[in-house]
Amino acid sequence: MQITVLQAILLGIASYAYNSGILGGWIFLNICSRPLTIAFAIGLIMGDMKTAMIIGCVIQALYLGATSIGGVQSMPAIGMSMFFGIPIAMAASSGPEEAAALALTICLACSAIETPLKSFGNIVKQAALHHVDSFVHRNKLKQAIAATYIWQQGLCFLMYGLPVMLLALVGQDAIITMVALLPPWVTGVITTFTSLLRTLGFGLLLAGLLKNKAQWFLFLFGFALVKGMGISVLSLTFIGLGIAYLVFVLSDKGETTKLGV
Amino acid sequence: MAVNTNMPAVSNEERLAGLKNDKKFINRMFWWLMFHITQLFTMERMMGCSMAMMMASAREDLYPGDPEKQRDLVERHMVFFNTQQGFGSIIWGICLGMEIEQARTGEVPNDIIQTIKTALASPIAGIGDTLWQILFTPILLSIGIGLSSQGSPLGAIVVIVVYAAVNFPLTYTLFTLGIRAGVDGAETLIGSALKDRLMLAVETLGIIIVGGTVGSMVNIRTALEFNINGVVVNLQEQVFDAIYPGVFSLICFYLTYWLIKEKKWSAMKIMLVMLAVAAVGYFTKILA
Repeated sequence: MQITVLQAILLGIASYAYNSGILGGWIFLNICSRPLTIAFAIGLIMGDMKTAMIIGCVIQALYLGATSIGGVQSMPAIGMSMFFGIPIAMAASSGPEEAAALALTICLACSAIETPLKSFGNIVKQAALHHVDSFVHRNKLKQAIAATYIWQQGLCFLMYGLPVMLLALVGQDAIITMVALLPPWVTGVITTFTSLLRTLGFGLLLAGLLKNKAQWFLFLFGFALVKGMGISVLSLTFIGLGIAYLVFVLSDKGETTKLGV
Repeated sequence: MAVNTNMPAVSNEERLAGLKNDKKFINRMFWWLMFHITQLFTMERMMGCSMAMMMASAREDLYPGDPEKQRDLVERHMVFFNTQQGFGSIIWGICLGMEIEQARTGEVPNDIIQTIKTALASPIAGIGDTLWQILFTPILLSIGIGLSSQGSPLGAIVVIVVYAAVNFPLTYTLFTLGIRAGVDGAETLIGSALKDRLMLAVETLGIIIVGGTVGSMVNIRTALEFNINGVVVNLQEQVFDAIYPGVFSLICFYLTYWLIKEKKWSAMKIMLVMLAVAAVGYFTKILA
């Protein structure tokens, strides 16, 4: 599989759209930065949904507990890197597991570039904010609104769209060659590393959820149903929703609220 | 057709009073807000620009034909403001509601609006970040992972649809509540027992789902075999799997959890250690 010019352009457009807030504004912004939904877009563009989703799930498992509070990211930034890292890994690998390991490696390596790029973007946005200020001071409010969007969208295209288009085209040959030259033990270590990494995202999430040790029974309940009894996560979701509803109802101590619930 | 010239003209005060129940106005402001929130987030003012731009979008409704007042309206909101966007939409609504009152009566000074805005930002961010970023979104993504781990797009589709189906009515309802109920609405949100019960229920669901998804996604195995009196014992299949399926993965998961929770290691430190462990594990066959 090779990334075509059209696919590289579409990947760049998707990266820009997903990161710029233009897709439905706040309604979708937060969910668009997630590996699972990014992989969905990549699967559509690359024409291989199965591999893309498997890779997306692996990266999402690591980034499950990732938060952005007060502009501070809790994990390395890979929002742009995924848009070329996943397709290049799909092009360079022979199977989904190998592609997932390679994609994760590329994305984490590229976060070293993406993080300072975001910092540079923040500096440009500062200047943009003062440009918008100048329109407001001069009572050109329509222009102020327009300037907000022109700066944000222009910056997002330059930071997220264009680099992805170029790297998806230019980077794939270099990485495909490099992967072909790698000794098997490197691929083996990376695959093992990826399997360990899956525990990190879930661990971070559980560390935030568990308030006391007794709640481990809830965790083991879910684990046993899926691993021990083989039920699907979807079925577990319905069971979990039923239990959550019981907890919600039983926790009512009869206090009235203005909402009357 | 004769034109009825006897209909009383609506005064500006009546028009402004009607804005809080004007669905077209509220819908227009809501969608402007949904897009403004995503633009020009900076460290200097964080979401302050989006508040000002929302007011800029409402300028002709609040001060029609009065450019000086329109400029003052926007300028006084070009200040620092930060909260969680979804639950915090109530604050944007409250500020808009208060500016409507100020335009109508002139009796709501800017100091009060800014004080209320600042006072509500942190507690609502606390509720929003906990319920939305730490609970709802990761739990939904866990379900998505469980559905898509074998390559199906169903998980991603479910995540996108459910996320929007919850986010849109939540944000719209809180925004409208803020415009109409003002600070009373925010006090209800912050103080009600409903939120504590909801968080407990969502935490319960989350822990169960994480347990299930760990069972589904985490598959760490050992390749170690021992030769005991000529009999080859495969540690994974004949020991760990015989105790309980996935128990080796469970032990590895608990070790990661312990490093995060008890030893307070950062994610980066754990990743580096995992890389070293993966290398040693691969060559010694402790890990497959």
